[in-house]
Amino acid sequence: MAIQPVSEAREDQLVWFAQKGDPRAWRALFERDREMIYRVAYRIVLNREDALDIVQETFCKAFINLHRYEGNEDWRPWLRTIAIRTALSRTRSVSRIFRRLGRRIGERESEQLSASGVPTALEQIEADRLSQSLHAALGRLSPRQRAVATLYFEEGLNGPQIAATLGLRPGTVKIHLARARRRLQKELRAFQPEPEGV
Amino acid sequence: MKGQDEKFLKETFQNSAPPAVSPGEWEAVWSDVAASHPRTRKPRLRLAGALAFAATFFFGVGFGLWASVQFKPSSPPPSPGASAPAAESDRSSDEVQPTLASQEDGMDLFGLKNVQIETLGPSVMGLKRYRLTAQTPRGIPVVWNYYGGQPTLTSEGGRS
Repeated sequence: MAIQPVSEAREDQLVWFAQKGDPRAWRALFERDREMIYRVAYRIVLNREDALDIVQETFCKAFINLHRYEGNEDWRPWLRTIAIRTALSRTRSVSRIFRRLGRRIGERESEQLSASGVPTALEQIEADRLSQSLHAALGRLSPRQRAVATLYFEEGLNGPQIAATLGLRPGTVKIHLARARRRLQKELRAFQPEPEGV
Repeated sequence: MKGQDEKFLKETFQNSAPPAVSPGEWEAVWSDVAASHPRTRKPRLRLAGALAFAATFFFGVGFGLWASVQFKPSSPPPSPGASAPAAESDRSSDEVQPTLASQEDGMDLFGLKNVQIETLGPSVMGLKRYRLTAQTPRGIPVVWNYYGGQPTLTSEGGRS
């Protein structure tokens, strides 16, 4: 029987080996899911260094609590839930600090972006501008709205799944999503193509 | 219209990648994660904690035993027939002298030896005055004067 390389192992196999304490399985899980965690964390904290910290914290928490993970749930949603809650908790503590100083973290991020984006704006392609605008628009949302929007628009989750991930009621998710959508549409209107037939 | 908005936002999210992370940075993140590997660190920490607790516990118990031997009172325990401590005897000398001569008949109660209860004088407002005399296991005399209805302790160790 041929030995299966770790990189080709199925997710549930890797998790099983990780639960048994195999460091190679840990590494493989980290390499598979780090980008997803980073992307989600970045959308919420809007800061590269913080997002990397959240990736680290998420995997630490996941590996420490691996014995609690049961095979009947999917690994990635379980990991994503840890990441999002870690990111939200971080934004809460950061927001508190900035609120004390009389500023909101989102506004601060947006100001930084608009200030740094102007000199290079002409050289950038449309996609980069859109990406920056999205970042700025997300900065004007609350952390929870950012989380809901990211899970909905980027990760493709539906309302009940988002509610389960964030530990919110479906009605609350609906409200957050509607506000986030309205705000993002307003901020990104300039980039949106004209509707057909108009 | 709403469908187009949704599609546009979904595409925007998916096409706007966050800043790239270099392999070296991922390696640094991984090394931090691996450093907190619970399978390698936690049991050791748990063992160290247990050992520290055990060492503290046994040191405490040992020190207590050693101290109890070291600081044993130099004065010998009062022999049967000795009087109560001076303060006690001064305070109650105007009433009646304690009669501890019959300590051999006393009983052991709650860790005290030779427990005896005597009546001191007539009742006042329905209450009699009693004196309880006893010795601790290490021979220190205990005298307790109190008011009460009737003595309830008997030499059989039960209640009357």
